[in-house]
Amino acid sequence: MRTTTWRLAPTWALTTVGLSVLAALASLAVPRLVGQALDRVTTGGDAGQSLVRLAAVLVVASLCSAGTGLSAGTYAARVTQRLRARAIASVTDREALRVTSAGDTATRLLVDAAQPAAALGITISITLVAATLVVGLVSIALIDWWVLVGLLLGLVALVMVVRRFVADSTPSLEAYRAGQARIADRALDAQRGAASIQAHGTWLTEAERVLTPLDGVRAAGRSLWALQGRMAWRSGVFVPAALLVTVAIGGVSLARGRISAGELAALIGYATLVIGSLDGIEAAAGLASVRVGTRRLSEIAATIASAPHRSASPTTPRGAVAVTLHAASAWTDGTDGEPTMTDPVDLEVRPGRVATLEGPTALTSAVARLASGAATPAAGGVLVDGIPLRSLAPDAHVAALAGARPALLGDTVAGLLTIGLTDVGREAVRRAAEAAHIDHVIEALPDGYDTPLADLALSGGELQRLGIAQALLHGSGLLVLEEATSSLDPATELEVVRAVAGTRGERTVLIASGRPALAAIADLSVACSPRSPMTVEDIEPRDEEDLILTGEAR
Amino acid sequence: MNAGLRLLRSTTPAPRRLARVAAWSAVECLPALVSGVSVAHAVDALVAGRPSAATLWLGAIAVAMVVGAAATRRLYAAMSPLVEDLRDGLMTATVRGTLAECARTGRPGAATVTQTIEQVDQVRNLVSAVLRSFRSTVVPLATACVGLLLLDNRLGLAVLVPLAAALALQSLLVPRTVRRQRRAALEQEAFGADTAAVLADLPALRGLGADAWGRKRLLAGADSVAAAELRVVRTTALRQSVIALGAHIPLLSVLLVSLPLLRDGSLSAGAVIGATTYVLTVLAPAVSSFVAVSGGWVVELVVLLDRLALVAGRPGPESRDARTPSRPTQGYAVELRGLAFAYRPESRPVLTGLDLQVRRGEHVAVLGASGTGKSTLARLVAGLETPTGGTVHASERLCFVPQEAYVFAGTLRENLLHLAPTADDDRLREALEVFGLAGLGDRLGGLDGEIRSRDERLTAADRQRVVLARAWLSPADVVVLDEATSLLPVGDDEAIEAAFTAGGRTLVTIAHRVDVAGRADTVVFFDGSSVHTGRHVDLLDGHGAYRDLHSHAALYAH
Ligand SMILES: Nc1ncnc2c1ncn2[C@@H]1O[C@H](COP(=O)(O)OP(=O)(O)OP(=O)(O)O)[C@@H](O)[C@H]1O
Ligand SMILES: [Mg+2]
Repeated sequence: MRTTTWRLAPTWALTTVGLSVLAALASLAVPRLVGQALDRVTTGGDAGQSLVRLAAVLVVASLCSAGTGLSAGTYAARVTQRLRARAIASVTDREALRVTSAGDTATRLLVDAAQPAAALGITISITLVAATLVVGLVSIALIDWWVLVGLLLGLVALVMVVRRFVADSTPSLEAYRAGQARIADRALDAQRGAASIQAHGTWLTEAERVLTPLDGVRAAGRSLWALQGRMAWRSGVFVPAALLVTVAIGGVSLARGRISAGELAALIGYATLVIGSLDGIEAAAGLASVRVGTRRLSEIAATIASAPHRSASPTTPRGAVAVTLHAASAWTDGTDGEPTMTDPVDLEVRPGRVATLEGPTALTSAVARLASGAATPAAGGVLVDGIPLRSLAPDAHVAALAGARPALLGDTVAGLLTIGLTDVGREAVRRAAEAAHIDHVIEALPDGYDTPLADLALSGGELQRLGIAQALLHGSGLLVLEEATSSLDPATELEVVRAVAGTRGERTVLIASGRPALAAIADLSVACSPRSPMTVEDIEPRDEEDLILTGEAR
Repeated sequence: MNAGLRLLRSTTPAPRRLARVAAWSAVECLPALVSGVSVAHAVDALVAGRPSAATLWLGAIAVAMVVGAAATRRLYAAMSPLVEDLRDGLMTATVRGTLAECARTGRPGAATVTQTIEQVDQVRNLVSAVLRSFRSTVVPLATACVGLLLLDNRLGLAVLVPLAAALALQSLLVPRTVRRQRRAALEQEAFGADTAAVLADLPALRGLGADAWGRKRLLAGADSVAAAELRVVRTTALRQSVIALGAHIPLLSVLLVSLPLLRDGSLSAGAVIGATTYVLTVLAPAVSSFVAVSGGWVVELVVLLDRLALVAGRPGPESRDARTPSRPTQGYAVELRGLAFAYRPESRPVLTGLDLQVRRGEHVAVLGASGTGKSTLARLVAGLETPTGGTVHASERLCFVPQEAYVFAGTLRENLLHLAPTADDDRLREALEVFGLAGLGDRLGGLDGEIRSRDERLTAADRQRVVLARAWLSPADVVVLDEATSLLPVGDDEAIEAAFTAGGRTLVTIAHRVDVAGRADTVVFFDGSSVHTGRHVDLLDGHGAYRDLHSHAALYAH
């Protein structure tokens, strides 16, 4: 990725390089022009012309530096923007196999994505350092070969010091970043547990717990400082050594009459130039950060790895859909953090049916996520009306899942209910809210449906009903409830599930919940068991009482 | 800005450390200060045929350089504790501030904590960069000015006047940069908050098929961050004019001023050469660094500290809890007298004049439809809300377990010991047994198995078990459970209640499974308009809605 970063904004990269070179050339010309002007001034000649020339070069240098600042900044902003866009695309990829730990991914998106752009500036300054080096060394070689040999030996030693630093500091840098990410993760967790923290009054001990990785961060930070100090010391000792070598060799040459005193002075001047330019080498330390950032960013795409994208289906099913799972399994996080596959399940539910899913939670949950499209199938097929679910257009909104907690995003309550949908009238929103028995609660809020989310405070059961309304609006042909009524009292739960089941004319409903009672409302209950042949087991026709309770005939 | 500086001061203890950093920076500049003079003398000596004097002068440079290098190393060693302490202090202050807000409001609040942690690190890097820049800004600027004035005060003035103008211009430009930088920081924060919120709700968004919405939102955030950064970048172009004024104009003015002075003989050629050397080699680089540091790093630092001070300064919960200070009468765990409560003055009151006395060791079940006020009652008993009328007396050692099951990244042991840091392993193993966590323990690899953030290996029911075990291990003698067993198999409830009451604890359970009523000593029933308390059998006899609730549930169970 490093080699291609600049291609994300090639024009700005080239402009930056060009202007930096111009600025460097202009500032190189300044001493010569100052010398000429000085000659004129001190000899009492007409200095006008040389002063004008000097002023002109200074103006050029200023303009080029200003331009470099502009284009380098623009380059960095653009590259970071594009890197983030790529990372966002893979994190939110529909076909992504897993959702990575939120805090860490956020850190990568926010922090690490900003690192690679720095590579250009660092490379430019290292190149300029190298150019100065070459100019200085060539000039030295032209005067006295032996001095060059002495200096070069010193330079090789210096390069080794710097390389060693980059290699040594990478593990510490990674430990530093990883520690920070762990703190971020823990802090996000703690925020999610705000209600418990408030209830137990444990915020101070929680803060301590969140901050435990700080010791590691501190240790890594201290070791980075130590490494940096060591590098500074080694390269700092090198400088006088190299200068002394230059002067000693030059002095011998002078004594033997190989060079003149003026040439020795020039030698010392060039050696100082060469050595001075090495200060810029410190910039190389930044390369380690660039490297870590680049790697952590590219890991996003690697760990999230997505399934191959399918070609989109031209047709979108309308109304209630038939749901079919063929030996389908979902990805879950295994014990070692690697994605593992759930047991494959077969399933078939005819359109407009209300079915409960029975079986081990791991399986019913996998079926719920697969059938609703919340999870990418790890193997097998998931079809609605015979069309692979994943091949439907992203905005088809055929299937939706309501879980134990709704997605609390958007600006207002209405925005939350219709998140990602276009053209949903207030009437449709109200109908969904009524079906979920939450309409009256929303109406009682300070601004009704337009209440900002920030002001939303609801009971646990009310939130879940909000989630069901949300899913009703998002699944035009299939609604999957996974523990979506766990915080409701039986009476409300019955009412809500009945109302939802009452929409079976429009959509198929799958219910995954530990409650056997809900099976009474369903038309059938489906046993989810691994690898068994299709197990559809229609419940016996319901008796009169059930019909009365449901309020409608099948 | 004051808040930011105050925060900085409170987290950076000893000014003595700063003095050490400044001192080593000055020593670090030693070679730069002596090199010019020494090289000149060495060359003169060589030309004059005195090689031993030349060697001495060069030796002086070498010594100065070794001293400088050693000083650099000491400088890093001096900065290391300073900067790392600063980071630790800021990190601690901001994490505390974040959690303080959680504890005060009981709600997660803005999900900007990732951002805050990143900002703390930026402050660390900026502070070290600014401290490192002493040697390239403050020290050479001072040296150049003193050197020039000593050389010739007319030439000195020719440099100092434009330099002063440049510094003035810079101080005019900085506030504008601060404004734009602040806006960029706000955009960054908004993007960070969005990222955290969208990533946290990504599974739910996938379930709704609305992940494209999340993507669009994040992409838009990244775009506005870039736009704000570009506005900041544009201010950098103006910075170059300060450099032109502070470094380039002095060069020209020295030459211009010296023209007539040389002619009338009041200035030597050597002084002119010396002055231009100072301007070119010392002043100009120092001015550019100074402009970059003060217009870039310092600005960012000011803005960041400002933002961080906001987070660090968030107030925690008021230390006095909302319960009436005096404890319940002897033999009682909870006493409510005429308890009334409404969330807002204009909204319908949730409670109006509730009286309830709970004896020690009693088991109370709270029943009622969703949204009738059960959790609110629990919060009032736990002292988390202030009654609008009446009084709440409750035992001091009360453990309230809210509806959300809070399991955090860390070992299983840490999670269990959360409220009982001193419980021993035998007790922990007993808890695993009682709450059916043995299987989870095995899956995680024992008590020290790590639970990750949002660990998929834990089902929602597992989380409830962990939270229950935690409450059970806690030293509390009154336990209030809000829907804490809602996801567990029906048969488990009874055993869990027994585990809590066995030790003589008082247990208040809020549950939607009505069968708990039969096992409880007292039932509190919210029927939507009023609250009824009594024994299960009495309520069955005397209260129609309560009877309905139970017949309904019986029908519903099969
Ligand atoms: N922080 C709050 N601000 C304003 N109103 C609130 C707040 N919390 C709850 N409410 C409202 O107060 C009423 C009672 O809520 P509470 O959470 O006590 O209900 P509950 O009986 O626990 O319901 P559930 O069974 O759904 O959890 C509800 O109408 C709810 O919308
Ligand atoms: Mg509640």
